[in-house]
Amino acid sequence: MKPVVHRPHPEPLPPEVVAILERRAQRIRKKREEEDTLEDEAAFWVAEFAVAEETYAVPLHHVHTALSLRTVTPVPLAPSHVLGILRYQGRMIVALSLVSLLGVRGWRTDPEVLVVVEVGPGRLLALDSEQIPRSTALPLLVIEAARARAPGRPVVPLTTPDLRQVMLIDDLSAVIARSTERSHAD
Amino acid sequence: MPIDPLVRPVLHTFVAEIEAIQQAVTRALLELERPDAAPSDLAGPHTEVARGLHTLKGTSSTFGLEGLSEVVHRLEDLLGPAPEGPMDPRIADAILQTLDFVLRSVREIHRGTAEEPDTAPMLARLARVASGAPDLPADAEPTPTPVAPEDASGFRVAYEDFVYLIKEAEHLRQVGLRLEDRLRQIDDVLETMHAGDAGRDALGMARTGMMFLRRALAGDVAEVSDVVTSWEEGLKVMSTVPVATALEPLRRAVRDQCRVTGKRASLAVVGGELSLDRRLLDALSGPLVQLVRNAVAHGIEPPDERDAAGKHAEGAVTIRLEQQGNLLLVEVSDDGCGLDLARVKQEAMRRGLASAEELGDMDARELHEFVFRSGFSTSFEITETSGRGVGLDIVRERLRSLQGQIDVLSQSGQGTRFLMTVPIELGSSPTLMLRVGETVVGLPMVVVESVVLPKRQRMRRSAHRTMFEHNGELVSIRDLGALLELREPQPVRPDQPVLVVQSHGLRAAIAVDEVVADRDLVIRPLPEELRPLRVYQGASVLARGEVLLVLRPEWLIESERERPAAVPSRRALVVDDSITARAMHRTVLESGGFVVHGSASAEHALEKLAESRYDVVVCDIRMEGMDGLAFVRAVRSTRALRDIPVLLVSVDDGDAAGDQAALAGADAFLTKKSCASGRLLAEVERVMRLRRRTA
Repeated sequence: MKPVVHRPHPEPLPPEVVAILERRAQRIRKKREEEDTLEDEAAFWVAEFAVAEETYAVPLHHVHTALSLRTVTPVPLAPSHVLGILRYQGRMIVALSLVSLLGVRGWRTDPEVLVVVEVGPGRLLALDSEQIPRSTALPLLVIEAARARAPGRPVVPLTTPDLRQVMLIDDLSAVIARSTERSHAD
Repeated sequence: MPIDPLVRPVLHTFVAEIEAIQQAVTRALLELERPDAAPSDLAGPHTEVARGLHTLKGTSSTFGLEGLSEVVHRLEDLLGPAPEGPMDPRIADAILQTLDFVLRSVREIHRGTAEEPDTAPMLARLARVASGAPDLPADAEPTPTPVAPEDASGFRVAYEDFVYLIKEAEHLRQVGLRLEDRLRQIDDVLETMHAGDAGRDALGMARTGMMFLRRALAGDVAEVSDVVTSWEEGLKVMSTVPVATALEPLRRAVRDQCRVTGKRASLAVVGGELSLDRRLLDALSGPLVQLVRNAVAHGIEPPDERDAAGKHAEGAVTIRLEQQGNLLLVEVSDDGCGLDLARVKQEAMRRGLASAEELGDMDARELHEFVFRSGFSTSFEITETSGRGVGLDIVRERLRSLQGQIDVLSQSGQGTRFLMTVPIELGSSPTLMLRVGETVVGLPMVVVESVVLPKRQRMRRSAHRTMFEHNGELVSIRDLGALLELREPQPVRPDQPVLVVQSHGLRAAIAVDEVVADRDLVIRPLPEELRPLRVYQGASVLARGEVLLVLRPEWLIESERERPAAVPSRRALVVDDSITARAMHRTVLESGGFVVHGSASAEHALEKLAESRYDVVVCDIRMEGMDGLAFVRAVRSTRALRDIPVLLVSVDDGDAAGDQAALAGADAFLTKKSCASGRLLAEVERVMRLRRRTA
């Protein structure tokens, strides 16, 4: 049996230190409450990535993987939003320029990552990205409210609880179809 | 009487036998029915029918199907001795329908879905035909179409073919063991080389060992290649079927449609010697039956109308098949009246598909597209087989489900052609790899008639084109790089390889920068998003995993014939080693009305500038090899290029990059972050304007 060690009673702390510790405790309690609230609410997981000054997100369950962009073969005569074609898990898939699809508003670094997403049953596409996307959970209520404000829109703007602006790509097929129609019309 | 359970499993052989008999008898009956057949030509087909029926009767009896045997016996009576003239079509109908009945019955017995059928109604019907009494309307039995195998997911394989493949697999295993042995030999050589630190003799031995190994490995590689080829051939034999056999039932479809419509037509199959994946042929059988029926019902005119139009009373329906790489081209044509464009317009307006004004602006090809709309019909009458507007839409859907496509061409009074292309999944195709600039593409070797270096004296140049003499014919040469919109058309150099390509009896000559190699490649269809691009028929994966796009030969020919004269437009060259950056710049510049060519390196861009005229260059600063600053300096120091407006871009922020750009001679600088559509275009326009003013 372990001997019980009796520690001496600690010295009383100076009031300014107590105040600091109290503020720290409050912050931790608040963060924990926020997390609990998020856990209580239904969460919607997304893959988030930056395009120039904006943040975009795609539903995480659509994301298969992230790849290096070096393996893409360009496709002459394809619309400008088509980067090329590549081999992924024994099949050929198309890589698209997300910035071209969404409307070019500049970019910070040349994208070097491809994010492979599923846009329909068994239909895979690769989208370029400036960096490997970050997975994060957003409250489903926020998503639903944003969708209600922009019914039927393939890209839904929303504000996260920490007041960040995120553009949720809700219907990638529609974004692609719109861009394809535009390029055919041209 | 119930079928003996021991017999049921072997009934599939009987099904196959009836199918073969049905085909032979149908072909013979078509000969017997010909109104212009001489009596001396009838004996052979008559014997063929008699022999088929006799065999059928005997085998039915062998399997204990006495009822069916009795029915076939009555058919033999009905057939009688060799006729002096054309066969009564009612007797031919009776024979064909009875064979359908027998085949259907035996299939159902084999599947276990029925026992031997009641033959009384069929016997009564045959008796009526024999007595010469008017025939009752036949049961609504459709013309049999080529039927999918019983188990659509597989096919039967001959035992000897199977054994052959097993032996080849054993062969491959032996090669594998030998390769393991080679690995051990390499280890020995490496050990010798290690010892060679001390002496030259050991290195000499190692060199000899490596040379031996190299020779041995080259032999192994050739052997593996032979085995793979042999395997591929064996698998092709197992999984393919001669087209002529698979299309045989279509003759019956034509014949039956003629009986219904009172027209005369015959079916010819060109390319029937091809052997194709039987699953593909099964999948195509429905569309082919529909198109062949349509050809007779809507295309071929009645004999008196054909006479009046100076045509042979018997119409011609032709199916032509051709394999090009991994593509099967199927053409169904008739020499009938062609599509009635006035009726097409009328129906399109009636259905609210287009206004009179819109229809007035459409060319024939666009109008023809309406026939693939669901419910669209130009037939005035609704009959059993036509006028319901159901058919061509389903044909197109079927083709799409096979990742293929269908187009129609029609000439009033001369006929209609339906052109289908479907990818073939099985097997590899010899493919030429061609380079134009920085791009390598493939072309099925089967369409390449020759590759030549046209001598200067055999070339004729005009303002718009270069022609060269090939086999006594002047052929226009097109630059593949320009066709693919990778660069401006280049004058053909005498040392440039020119490929003479032929497809559908048409010829084109294509200039490339280099014929890189020829390879046996498995060509797969492109992903859905790229299928609207008619330029490619598929893509292959090369040894290191890179994708090779394979050109569609038809597109090359069409480009030669249909390309409109170039409209003068502004040209921009985008130089960036990032494929994504090139795509984004291209998107912006195209929206501003520029024709955009891209280059992945400054070195290639300089070559392009030397060959073609560009109105503006947008170039990245940070690139591997020559960077953007060096590029601008090179441009400014070249007399012919020094006045080209150059806009440099970079991911680098700050004034330093801008200063460097200006110092190098760039007209403007933008960070990529500020390359928003409007800003980039405005800057491009500004530098072009400034240069014009200075000039």
